[in-house]
Amino acid sequence: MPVTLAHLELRLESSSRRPWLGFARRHPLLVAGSALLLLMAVLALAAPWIAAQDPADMDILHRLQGPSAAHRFGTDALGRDVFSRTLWGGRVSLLVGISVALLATGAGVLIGMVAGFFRLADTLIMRVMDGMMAIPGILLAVALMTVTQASVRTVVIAITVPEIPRVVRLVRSLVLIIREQPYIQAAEAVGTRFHWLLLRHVLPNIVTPLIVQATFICASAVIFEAYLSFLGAGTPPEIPSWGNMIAEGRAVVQLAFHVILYPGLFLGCTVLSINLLGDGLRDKLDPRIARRL
Amino acid sequence: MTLPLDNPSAPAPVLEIDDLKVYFANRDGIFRAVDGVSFSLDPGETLGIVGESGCGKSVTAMSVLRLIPSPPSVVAGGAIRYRGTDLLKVSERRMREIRGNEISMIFQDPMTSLNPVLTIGEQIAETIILHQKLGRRAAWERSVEMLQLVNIPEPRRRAGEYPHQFSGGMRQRAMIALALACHPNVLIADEPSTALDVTIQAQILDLMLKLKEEFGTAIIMITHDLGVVAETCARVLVMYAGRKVEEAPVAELFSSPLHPYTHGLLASIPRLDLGGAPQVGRQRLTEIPGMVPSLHDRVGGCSFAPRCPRATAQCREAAPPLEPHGGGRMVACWKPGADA
Repeated sequence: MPVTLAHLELRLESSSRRPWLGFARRHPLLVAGSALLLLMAVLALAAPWIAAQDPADMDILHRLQGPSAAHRFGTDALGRDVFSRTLWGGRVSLLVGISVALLATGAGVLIGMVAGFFRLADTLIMRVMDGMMAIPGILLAVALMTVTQASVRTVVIAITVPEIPRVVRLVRSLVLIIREQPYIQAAEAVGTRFHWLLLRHVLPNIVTPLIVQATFICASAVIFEAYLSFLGAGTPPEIPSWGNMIAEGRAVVQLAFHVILYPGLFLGCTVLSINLLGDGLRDKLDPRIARRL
Repeated sequence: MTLPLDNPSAPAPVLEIDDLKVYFANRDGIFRAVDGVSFSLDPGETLGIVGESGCGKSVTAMSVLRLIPSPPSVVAGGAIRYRGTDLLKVSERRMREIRGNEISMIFQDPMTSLNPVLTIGEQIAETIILHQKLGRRAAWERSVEMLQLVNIPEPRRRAGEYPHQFSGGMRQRAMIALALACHPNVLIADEPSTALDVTIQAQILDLMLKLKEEFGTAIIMITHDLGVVAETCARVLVMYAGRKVEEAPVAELFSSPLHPYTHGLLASIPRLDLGGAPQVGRQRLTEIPGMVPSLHDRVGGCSFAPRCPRATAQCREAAPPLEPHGGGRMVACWKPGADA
């Protein structure tokens, strides 16, 4: 359908009257993703108040029960409340996802900028990164977990390390492009100091792709945590996490499918919401498509 | 600003380039981008440097601010004296104080020489804060003033906008505002109007000249456009293959070019007043045959000799020295003269 001036005016008017609606129409992915992620975050954070049962409370007499009024998502093989465990598990997943995204991006920016600006360091750093990328991430993470004591902190580190090389490569390639831009030389020509040049003139130019990359790292870290826990190399079993729950539920899946259904569903929704958010951010922050009405 | 008071009739030059040699070394050998160039710039003067692409104009200019990365470049000799101090010998710290504050630069392409993620006002204010004892607010006010001075409409609102919201001509004006924000003594303009269309070019050049008068800034105008030179400069330096081949006041250069290269440059300007008669039809432009020689291996002799209509055996054997030719003119040619 051809867009006429009348259409544009109509859209302009409706979006100025209800700015939120206009924004949602322009960025459906962004709005859907953040709404879903917000819901997940609220459920996880409010777990102590929403879920009445202690996630670790065992009730052997009522094990493997289907969803009911007392146990909204049923109970698992040890009679623990799946609803409360699922919500508490969300805390671990989101904590791991966000920490990994921040740590991997932060470390990657630091290392990538050094690699992009100093030729000598570049060779060394990039060979190390190539080496790290040659090892499958899950193997590297499992290896890191076996030499450390299992805790949420070690899980975060084990997932962060394999993610770093990707950020480093991204940052390095962006820095290599940006440092050759005339405006960098122009900034130098007015007497800007080197560290200020990096912080004020180079860094802001790479923030957009970094934010997008960080959201995808966050999503992948949530899945990674579930992998590791499922393999028994992740979050210690006494802490409820989606991966742990699915691993434990695997044995009883034919008797009580709900034990893995709900954590799986939550895991899927969380990852989907973060990916939608990432796609939406990419569209929103990319100036070539962001200007559309 | 303090100007030397000792001799008002012949003020001390604000910038003196003395036998500057800038070489680049790569696998193929040594590339003599600037090979013994000397000139001086008086306070408030506009000096043109012309020459075709690759003749060393920009390298000369960038060397003044020490903006050429080393390696691969090496300053093989010479001196760059700014008010008596040799800029090649001062510390990097002092150099940073000079850049943008005392000697400033305008680049060729206004589309890419402003940082896309910072507002125009921020970029100007940042330079001011860097060099002057001014707070954020005062620096911002000053950048709005500067934008006003370069005829940006609604400067207060425009200062908060990003470069992509400016047109090409406005960006170049913003660049001028940025370069002049600290009232520098010397402004190096590296092809400031090349990337702009002709009407905007004229506006930009007028603006630069107006601000030059206002601030007493000396300008080095680097260009390959002789029209720009004729309009803006008092004195011109013609460069060829890394060397200065001719220097003359602008009127003399246009009326009686001494070097055959200058002669060729002038002859290759399209003219509306000649050959425009209908019966003559279209006339081919005169061009200088051949290419700029490789700056890698200099053979003996004049580097223009292979393209020169006047070349003789003498030209191919020994490079002509740069010699005064009366009336403040200098030329490096064995057979200088007005007609080829």
